[in-house]
Amino acid sequence: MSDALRAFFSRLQAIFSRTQLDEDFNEELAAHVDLLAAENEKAGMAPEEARRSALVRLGGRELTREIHRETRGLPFLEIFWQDFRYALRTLRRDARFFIAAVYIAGLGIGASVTIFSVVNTLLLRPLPFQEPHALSGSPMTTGEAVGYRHKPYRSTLSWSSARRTNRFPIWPRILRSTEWATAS
Amino acid sequence: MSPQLEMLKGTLDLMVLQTLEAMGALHGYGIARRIEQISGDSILLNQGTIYASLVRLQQRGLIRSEWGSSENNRRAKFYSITRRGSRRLAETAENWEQLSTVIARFFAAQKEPSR
Repeated sequence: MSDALRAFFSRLQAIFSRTQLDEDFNEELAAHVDLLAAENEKAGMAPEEARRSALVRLGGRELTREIHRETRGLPFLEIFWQDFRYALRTLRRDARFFIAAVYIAGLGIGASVTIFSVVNTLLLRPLPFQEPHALSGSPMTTGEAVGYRHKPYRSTLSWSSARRTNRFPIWPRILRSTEWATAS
Repeated sequence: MSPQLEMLKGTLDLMVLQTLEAMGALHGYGIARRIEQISGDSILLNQGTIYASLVRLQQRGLIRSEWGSSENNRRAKFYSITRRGSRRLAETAENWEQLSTVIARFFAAQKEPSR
């Protein structure tokens, strides 16, 4: 496994045992400061001075902890997670606002989806037959019956003659009329 | 004391690895002291930075750690190099030696009179 991958998994793991790792590191640091202070005392410093100097050599306890935490985990993810939880807490405190916000967002999404599915079916998708551009329509002007389903024989005849003489492209009318047939 | 050296990136990690290879298991303080001694105090660490280096090395599986007891009978974490770490150290050391030889040659060449 590559170094980067190993490091990533190790950092990911570290996120889930933060308390334990923090305690471990505090103890480790305390041991470090003790050893350094003991060394300083041996060199002739007063105990208090020895301890203070040890902390300076370390580079400050808080800073060291901070650097350790950043190296150990995934700071971006941890900060994001903190913010996320903060947001949840805030929302829980202001439940009515939360519900209103969800309601409005839901309404918006619902309306968009509805409009899009209509547009998608009517305008964006091709018609469900081959060569839809060759589709032509013919207005039924033969009297009482309107619509192919109820057409009497005569009007069928007149329709087929009309078809020959009176073809026009159906596309511009497809939204206005439901009466269409494929041109043979 | 000679002026402090500016460290190149990755140098500290390499020094820590070499220290552990040479000395066996050591705690953070021991490693920091050792690096300062070997460098003739031309490297004065903020000793805290050692711990960032130790975390990095451990994340890459180059060293491992376990709790033990220090000279003054205090619980301390001891680090030791892994086999993977030793292998990595050998590779990197070779690379470093070649690089520093080449750099040294460059600086030597600059001193010759131009023709």
